[in-house]
Amino acid sequence: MTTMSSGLMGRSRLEVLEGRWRLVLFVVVAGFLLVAPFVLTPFFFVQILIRSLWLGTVAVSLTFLIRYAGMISLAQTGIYGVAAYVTANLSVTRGVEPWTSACAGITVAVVLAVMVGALAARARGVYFLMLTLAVGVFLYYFALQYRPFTFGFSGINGVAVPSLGSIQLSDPRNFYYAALVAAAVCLLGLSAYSRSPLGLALQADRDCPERARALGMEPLVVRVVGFAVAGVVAAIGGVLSVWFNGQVSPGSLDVTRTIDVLVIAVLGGVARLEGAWLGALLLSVLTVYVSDLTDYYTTVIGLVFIGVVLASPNGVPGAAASAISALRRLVPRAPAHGSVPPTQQEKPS
Amino acid sequence: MSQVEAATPRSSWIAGPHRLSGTAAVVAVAVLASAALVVRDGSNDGLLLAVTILNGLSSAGLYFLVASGFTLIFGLLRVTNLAHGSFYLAGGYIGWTLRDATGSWLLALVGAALAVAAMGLLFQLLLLRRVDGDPIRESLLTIGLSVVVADLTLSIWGGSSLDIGAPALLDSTFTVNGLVYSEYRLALLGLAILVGAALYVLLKCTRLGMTIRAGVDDPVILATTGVNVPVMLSLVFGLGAFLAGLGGVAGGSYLSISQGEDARYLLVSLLVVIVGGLGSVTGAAAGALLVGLVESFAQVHLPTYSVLVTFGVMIVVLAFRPQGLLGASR
Amino acid sequence: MTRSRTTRSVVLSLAVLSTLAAAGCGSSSDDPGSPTGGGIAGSAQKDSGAATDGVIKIGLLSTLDGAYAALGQSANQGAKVALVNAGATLDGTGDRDGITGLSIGGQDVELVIESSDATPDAALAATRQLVEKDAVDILVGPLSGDEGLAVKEYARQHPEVTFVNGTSGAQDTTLRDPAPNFFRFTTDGAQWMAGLGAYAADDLGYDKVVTIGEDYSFPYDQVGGFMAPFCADGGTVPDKIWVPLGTKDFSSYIATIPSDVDALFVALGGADVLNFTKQLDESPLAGTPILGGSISVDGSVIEGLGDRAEGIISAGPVAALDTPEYRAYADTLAATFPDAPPPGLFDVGYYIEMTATLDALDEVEGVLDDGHEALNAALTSLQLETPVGPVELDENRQAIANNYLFEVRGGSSELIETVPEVNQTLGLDRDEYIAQPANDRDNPSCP
Repeated sequence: MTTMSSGLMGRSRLEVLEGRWRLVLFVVVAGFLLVAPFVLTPFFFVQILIRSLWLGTVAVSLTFLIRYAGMISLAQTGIYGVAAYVTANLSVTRGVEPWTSACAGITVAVVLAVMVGALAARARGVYFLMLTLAVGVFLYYFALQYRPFTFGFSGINGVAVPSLGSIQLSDPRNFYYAALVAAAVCLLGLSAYSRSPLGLALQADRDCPERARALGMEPLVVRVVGFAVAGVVAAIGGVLSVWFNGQVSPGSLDVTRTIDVLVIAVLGGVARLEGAWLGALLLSVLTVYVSDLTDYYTTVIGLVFIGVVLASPNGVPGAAASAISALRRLVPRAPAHGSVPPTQQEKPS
Repeated sequence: MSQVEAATPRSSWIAGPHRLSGTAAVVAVAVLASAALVVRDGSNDGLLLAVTILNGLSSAGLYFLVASGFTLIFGLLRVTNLAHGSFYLAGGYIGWTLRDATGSWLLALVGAALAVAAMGLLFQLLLLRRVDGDPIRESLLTIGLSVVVADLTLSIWGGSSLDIGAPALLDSTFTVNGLVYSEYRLALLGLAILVGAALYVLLKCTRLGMTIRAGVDDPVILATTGVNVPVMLSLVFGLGAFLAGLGGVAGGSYLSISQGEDARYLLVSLLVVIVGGLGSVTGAAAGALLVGLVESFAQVHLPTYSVLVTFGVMIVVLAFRPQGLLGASR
Repeated sequence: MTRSRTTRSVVLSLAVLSTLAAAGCGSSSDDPGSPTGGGIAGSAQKDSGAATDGVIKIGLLSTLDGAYAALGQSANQGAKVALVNAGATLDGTGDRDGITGLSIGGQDVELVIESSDATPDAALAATRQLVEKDAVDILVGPLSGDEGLAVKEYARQHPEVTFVNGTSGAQDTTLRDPAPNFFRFTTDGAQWMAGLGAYAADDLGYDKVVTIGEDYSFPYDQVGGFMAPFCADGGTVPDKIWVPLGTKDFSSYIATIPSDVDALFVALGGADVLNFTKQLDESPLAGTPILGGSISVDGSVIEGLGDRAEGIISAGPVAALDTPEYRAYADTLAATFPDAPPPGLFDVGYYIEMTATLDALDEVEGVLDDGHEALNAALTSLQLETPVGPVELDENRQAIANNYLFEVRGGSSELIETVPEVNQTLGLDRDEYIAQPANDRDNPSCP
């Protein structure tokens, strides 16, 4: 188990879009995100888009770990839950100022992430997956049983949303832009980290731990720090979620939610970090609208998930990219300069 | 990439130093901790102690039934079967239907286990095989299966919990020296020992078992000797599912079966094999014993946090023996 | 590398743009933010709560997913009987089938059904979907205790919607810090125990009872409702056992129960009572009398326990009364849903809540464009004659209603006593009652 699954790591298929088109795509997406609050129905805007923003932020911590560290962590829901609980408990029962509560929540979650990382980072591959699943469930039971702090099954209700200077974040539009900024900062931070020396060491360790060690890296430290960085992002997602819902309870971090986050990462594809938000959007839409169509929507989501895992290692974007290249092959046309023929795709790492 | 994997010894599941090698030390710590709990409670009640130990042992029996399948599948296929709890659930429900229709407990036990084995085999052949050699995607597929099974069992058998009921022969209690205990639960322990012994014989004394063990150690070399490895993998996956289905009927006969049990028994399997050591059937037995006993003592002496105590054991074991109690330390 | 640089600049510009946008839009906000409720209050599709679209939308929230799906199915059947009584036609007998053909004040009534899995999280998500996506005017639900606490907090932020409880029985949904637009026409988990504690202490002469219940708010209230009068009349409870939700194996917990208890008070869900009692009878405590919570002793438990069920005493808000209202309800239920079990706590509860909703809507002739002022006033002053007796609300919009004691005799649960007009403070002075600690793992206590 020295290396990670190649299929999930591949980033070949996404390169079918040339730079020019990627810019266009980016402008369209960014433009849409900026005007979304003014063009979407309130429900879609709040319940789908804002929800996807924080859910995607939790999921991107997993995407990051899979993409750059080869670690499939099922403890991310636990970590985001801890941040949410600490924030909620401090601000509701102890009257601590919301921003301070949030900082405390993120700090505690990151300390926890370091501990979990220290425990689990020695393991690799599926063994890591199992350990983190066990840790995640431990945190769930902790939330359920430790009533003095977590208030058991009912959780903590009535978490107030703070304001940023004179801006009331409890207004959905303001909250949306704040969440958008937070998500963008997380994305930026993670991709910057991946190119920093520690991030490169993380990738070296993923690809060949023996060689990384021979080069003088300490694999355990590199992995624990990487895990902690992902923990920061998951914790930010946790704070966003508890403000968004105004509530946190054990159901926020149970196995179902763990699976949701995993489904998001897989649907969105791990080739690019942004995929996490796309995955979150897809899952939110599926959950809300398929449940209107059939009582078996859980089965439908399960089958879609199986289909994506089977058919496309890069999630839905990967499948879309394959479809585009297939279309191109069907429509014979002189390739635009700079486009990569499908046969010369970059080999999976 | 697969070459790297094949060339790496199995101990590399865990990269890191093995600081303490004494399995006995860990077990001793656990027993001492339990004893300390008893003393702290100030209870000298021998009956309570006896019942607690018996409860621990019978739980351990059930946990072993389920977890041995999990560890077999992991050991050979390197698949973390996150649908293992769903096999338990499906086994319990099918067993209930069979018992309801025929009245025979034995038929329910065997029939449900076989049905689940067939289900597992089909899943392995139709889906898992397509992502052969990619353990992460295999695990993801099993998660997808667990989501589907949970939803379908809910729509078929409904949300109420169903009691299969113990066989009439064992549906009473025995009394020794004032100790009252359920015959069925004791028989369950017997069943687990029987299954454990059968697995031992299968793995150590038959040609198939020899091949399986060879496959655990080095599937590539095994394939070069002419063994049809894919068929063997499917068989072992089916066997693992069979054991989970067996566990579902055995457990559902005295604990009833309901939604949510899938997550519970998946978790139990994880705990047991992580504590006992991955891929090892004897490890699963040791892990099941430890988890079952600790759980039962914790329920008596620290009821509110009993679930957390069992996890605590896992963390302690991992801290000192990352490869688990009986995990390979080559 | 060029690629990642592109990504970086792209993301950077996105972040800058978003910041600008956030700052720009901030000034336009005039919402001072709610002082007590939390979360993001997504505005509903309509702003004034006006039903100007000519349709009255009623949301129905129960648990059709997860371990409590069977209860949610019953609940929805009860709610639909109320709609049928008002003149609606069902689209079908399925759990999620809607209704047609009902109009109030010239507006069509539409039923929108959502489901949770009994966790507060899922209830909140479903509530948001009903209010913010489907734009319901009135929401009936949820089903279980902790869900109700979460929905109450949400209700506070949405004064333009009227919330009518389902069967959620957590005391604090209405007792402490109630929401002005949340109504509960069913009694709570503590009220459902009225009469049992005194009966155990005085009529049965029990001194020492150990309680066992699941570890969440509803059983806390049930145990609290049982213990308050039991302890007041001289009984003691040396130990309260709280098992995690979903516990199936009670044997280790049973082993810790002292051998000299007079009876056990069991506040578990129905199917778990079956497991518990079987395991109890495989211990030295075999045959210990059982007192049951309100959802503990149903038909399937009595059937499953056989002779062992004889003599089990329980209490609850629903009894098979010999009144025209009850007979009419039971008949309609059986005629509408041939597969439905006999009337029980969940279907009758939802029936009462939905009936109250429709009655109040009738009274105001469907007028909702006054910010629900008239509707809420009508609900507050409503007096109902339900299948299980009269119901009226107190100042916290919480039901005052009868409670009933049962004993299993000859294979069925027989009514042995009626406790009339039980209020939420169980007859005590309100201030005094609220001053006591809320029911939880440790309170009340009388070892």
